Amino acid sequence: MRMLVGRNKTESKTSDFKNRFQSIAGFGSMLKPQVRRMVRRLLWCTGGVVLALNVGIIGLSASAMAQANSANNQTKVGAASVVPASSQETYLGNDLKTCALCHEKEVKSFLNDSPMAEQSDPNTPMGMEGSDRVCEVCHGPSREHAMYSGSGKRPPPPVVFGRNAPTSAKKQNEVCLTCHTDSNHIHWAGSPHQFAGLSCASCHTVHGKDLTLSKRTVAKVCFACHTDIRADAHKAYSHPILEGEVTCISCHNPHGGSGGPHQLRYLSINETCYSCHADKRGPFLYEHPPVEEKCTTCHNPHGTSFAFMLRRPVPFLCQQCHMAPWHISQVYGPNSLASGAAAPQLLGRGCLNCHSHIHGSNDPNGGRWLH
Amino acid sequence: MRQQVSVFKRMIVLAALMAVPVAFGQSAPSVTAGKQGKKVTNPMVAFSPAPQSQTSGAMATKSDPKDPSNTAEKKDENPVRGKVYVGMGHLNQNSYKFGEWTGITGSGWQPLLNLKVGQWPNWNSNNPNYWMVSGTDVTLPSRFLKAEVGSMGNYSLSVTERGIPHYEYENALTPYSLVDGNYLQLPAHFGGLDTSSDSAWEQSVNNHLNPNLHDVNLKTQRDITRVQYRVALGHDWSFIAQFRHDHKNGNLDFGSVLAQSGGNPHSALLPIPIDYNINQIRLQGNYHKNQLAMAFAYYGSFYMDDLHSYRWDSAYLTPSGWNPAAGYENGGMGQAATPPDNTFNQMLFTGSWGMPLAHTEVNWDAAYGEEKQSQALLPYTINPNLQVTQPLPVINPNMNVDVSQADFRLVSNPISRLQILASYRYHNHADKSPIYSFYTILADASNQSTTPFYNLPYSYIRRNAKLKLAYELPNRFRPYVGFQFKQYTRSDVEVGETQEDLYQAGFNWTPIGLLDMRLTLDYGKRHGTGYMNSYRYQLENYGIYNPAGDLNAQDPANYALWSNDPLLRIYTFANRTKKDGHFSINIVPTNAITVGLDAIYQYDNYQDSTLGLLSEKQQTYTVEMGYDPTARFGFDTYATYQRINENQAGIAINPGYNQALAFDFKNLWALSGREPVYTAGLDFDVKKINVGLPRPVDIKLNASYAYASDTLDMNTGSGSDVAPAAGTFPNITTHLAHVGITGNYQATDRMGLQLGVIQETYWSNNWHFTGVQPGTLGPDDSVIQLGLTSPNYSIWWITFGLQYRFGPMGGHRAISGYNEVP
Repeated sequence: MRMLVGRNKTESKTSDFKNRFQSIAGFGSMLKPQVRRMVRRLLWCTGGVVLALNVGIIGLSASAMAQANSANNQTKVGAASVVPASSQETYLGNDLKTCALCHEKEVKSFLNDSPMAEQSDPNTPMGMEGSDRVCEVCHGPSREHAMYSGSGKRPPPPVVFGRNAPTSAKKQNEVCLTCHTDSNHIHWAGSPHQFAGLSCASCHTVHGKDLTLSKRTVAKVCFACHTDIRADAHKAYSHPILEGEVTCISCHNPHGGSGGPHQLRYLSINETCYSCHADKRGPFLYEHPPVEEKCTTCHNPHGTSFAFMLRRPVPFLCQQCHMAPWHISQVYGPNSLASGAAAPQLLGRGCLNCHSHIHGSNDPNGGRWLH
Repeated sequence: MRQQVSVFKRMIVLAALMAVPVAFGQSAPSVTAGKQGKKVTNPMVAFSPAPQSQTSGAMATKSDPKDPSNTAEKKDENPVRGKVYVGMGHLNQNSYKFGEWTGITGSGWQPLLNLKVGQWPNWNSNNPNYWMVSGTDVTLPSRFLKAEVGSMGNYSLSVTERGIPHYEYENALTPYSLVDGNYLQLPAHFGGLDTSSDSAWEQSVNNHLNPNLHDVNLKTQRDITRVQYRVALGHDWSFIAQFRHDHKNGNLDFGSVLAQSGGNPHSALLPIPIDYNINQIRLQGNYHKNQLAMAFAYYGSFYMDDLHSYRWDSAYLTPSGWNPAAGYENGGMGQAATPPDNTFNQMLFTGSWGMPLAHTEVNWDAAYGEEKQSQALLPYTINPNLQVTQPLPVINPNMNVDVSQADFRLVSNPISRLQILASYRYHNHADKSPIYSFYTILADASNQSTTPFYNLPYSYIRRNAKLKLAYELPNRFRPYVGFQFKQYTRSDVEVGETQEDLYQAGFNWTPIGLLDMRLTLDYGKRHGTGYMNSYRYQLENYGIYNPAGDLNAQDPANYALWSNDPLLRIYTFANRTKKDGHFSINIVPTNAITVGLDAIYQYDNYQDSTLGLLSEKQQTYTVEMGYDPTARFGFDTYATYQRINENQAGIAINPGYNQALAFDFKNLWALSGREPVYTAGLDFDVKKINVGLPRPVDIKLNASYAYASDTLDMNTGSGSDVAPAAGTFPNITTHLAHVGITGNYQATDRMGLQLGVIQETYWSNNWHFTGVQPGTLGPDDSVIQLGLTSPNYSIWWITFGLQYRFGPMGGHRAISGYNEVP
């Protein structure tokens, strides 16, 4: 029996989104009408420019693709370098030893520590078909850099990697993304890390041990910027992030995620949580709406000071949304703790002493999540 | 024993997989050199990589690896190689909290084993075949084992087995014992708790409860087995198949209500059993050619609970006011359902296309999935004294939810310095489950209700559109602006639709080699459609929404039509102003020194709310420094101060369903919470210290400190119900101090001796548990507790062991495709 109870607001209230976004007038309701008009025009113009550009792009794509394919064939696997050169004379060629004269530490660590040094793997810079340029596969033609004999500052190679390197992050990343094209990197373009101007080398180390490859050290890389998460991870109740049992990349894909929020590996917060906590998925006979929406409504998965990683202590967390007569709206103060007659809503599991099936219930009597 | 058998089975699987490459005459696998976890409870304190000098491969002699004459390093047969660490650890006292996630919880000696063995190529080998077996924490519940065989660039097949223990509480107290897998039984002579008066309660606790308490440890163990196969199919295609099996068992504390008379529950925290399995499958085909990449995938998740319900004996005598028809004089039994078995099947299509002009790329996701469950319902009651006049409307409920999701993102650089990002995200959670009428029996102790209660599905649609523009000015100064529009449409809740406008601005400034400065600012406004108080409550209880019930709550005919105070605004729907900011600067004055400052500010203000959550603010400030003057010495240190503030308010409505009371601000209470959190850490490395031994010693020191203290201030109106509650709660405090030192002495090229010492002190205080004994809560609102306490410990964890390397030296690196995480 599909019973109609009340009106279906999902159906009745979805229709105006398109108009809402297209007209976009409402976004700045706090602004004066003139300003709103101006902003609206600006956005329209920007959108128009982008649209026009891409219509043109698509129209021309067929011929351009052919050119691009040709270019790619020269610069990707099968060629000697992913960095184009103006002439072959600018390359040093097969000369790892020359590089090692000055960069011995980097060359040694690359060969000893980096998976990208595998000559037997046709996907690595060392193993790609026809590769005979070794360091220059990634750093570009470096004859001028290596053979410089002038008195001034030695010119750098065309591509230098690192967060503070002279080469722009965009150019660095283009080199890496020439080969790293698997599904993990599909959403890199436009991802928060890409838009923030980070380079691959901001997190990864090629010449040395890459901390992102070990579950015991990957969090250290993330914490360098996400300092608030590091503080959360040290709190009394957290996922075992510091222990390396659950790592940042167990849930997140820093290369752009799945396309969903927060660069998560799955398309939503709940789907990510369900990958380990599938018992919470349901669908239950009796749903608890905030559970269905976002686990993070009540939990902070990075850690909190309260049991079950709840954002705030019970019963006060529950009272942020529930204010019904009797015990639900009751004040629970510290005086009762001292008197030794505290309410059960305050001690132990608080409201969950009784409403324990709070993620949803499949019991026919479970409408209030008691059973 | 069962766990040991399970581990044994898995070892056999791993051994079988190891046999595969041997049978096929393969050679050698991978390795990530052992890495040192920073924290604390990491038992692998002694498993550090060998000194660089010992791992020098071809370049140690500066030979030219591309020189054809250098044939010594080029082999078609990859040699067997590896390293094994064998050691012992000693913990000086029992502590569940110290070993919460590792299983190192009992005082005494603990064997330790790490290993990496196999055949894998040197960097300049021509043989791409490899196999490897690696393991960390092999002897602990937190073990990680992986066996992999493959050919680089062609295929890989791996089996991973890992354990994740969770040791929650030791020495909990309960009168219940688990029998028959899901029945929590009281001792036969248990006399029952008398709730008729304070003195009767106290007497029955002393006579019946306390003498029957026994210890129970609350812990779970999750064992995960994962099989993954990757293969390249020609130049453009690849295929990935993953299977993951989770098995979790153990017990956890869970509230279980039996009987409710006049709103006074009779509950018990039970150590209920946990025993479930999750199987997940992912099959994915990938295509990549030129600027087009696509992935087609199927994902399936199958949850199976071995226990579909649990039962427990009543610990109570018949409460005062209890309907005599409910029986349970001196006994009785309750039953509750566990989460239902469920399935989720999803198809995904993901891709990106780099358009050849104007440096434009689009990427997208499209996914459709279906969540289902049809677990047979339990009967209304197992109390034989209660008459069930209305049968269950259905045995198998057939609940199902369609989940449709799509993302589209366009990134364009129409001119080299300008980046435009436009994206749109859609998420539709359409709950298509049927609605039934249930005539409930509340908590197994009331007569069956004569009015129906409806299970109400919950659906929502999320939409998010974003436009951002960034422009790079000279000297790598890159400001940006952005705008996001978020819309949330929900079915059958207080607010049908909310919309949020979010304005963004900021910059990145990364002048070459000197500093890295970033600023992001977000300002958002959220508003919703009209607030219909108690909307969902009315639909569940009456099948219809009646606004009059909200407005005329004093009318006895309608007084039960509202639930929440009309002044409450549920914060997930409430109007909100959001202000977020993040500023960071990293200065690199010399190659050896890095100094960083970081400030994060997040503020949500529910400015139109009178009751409920009113505001929350979080500020985090960090200062960091790194100093690496030489390859032999370096340290990193940081200190973070975080402050969390929250404000909320309520009105005590007692006795209930009286709208006049709902607006009576004499009964207002306001809670403000503030939690300062201090975190600091230090990593200190000194290599090649000469201590008079034939070879030098490497030493690592890491230290961390964390302190959090949550304070709650309760302020109240003058009402007699609320005024006595004013005051400040005791702080909820945790304090962690950790120091770990590791020494590594490489006695020979192949053999290293390692010693590790960890001293860790943890102290906590939480008024939820402090002083709460199993019989503390009663007699009016009775909940038998588990006697939990806030953990405190001060431990020494000392490890020593020997690491031995065999096979050729060098090349102990990760192999391509092999990754220890996730």
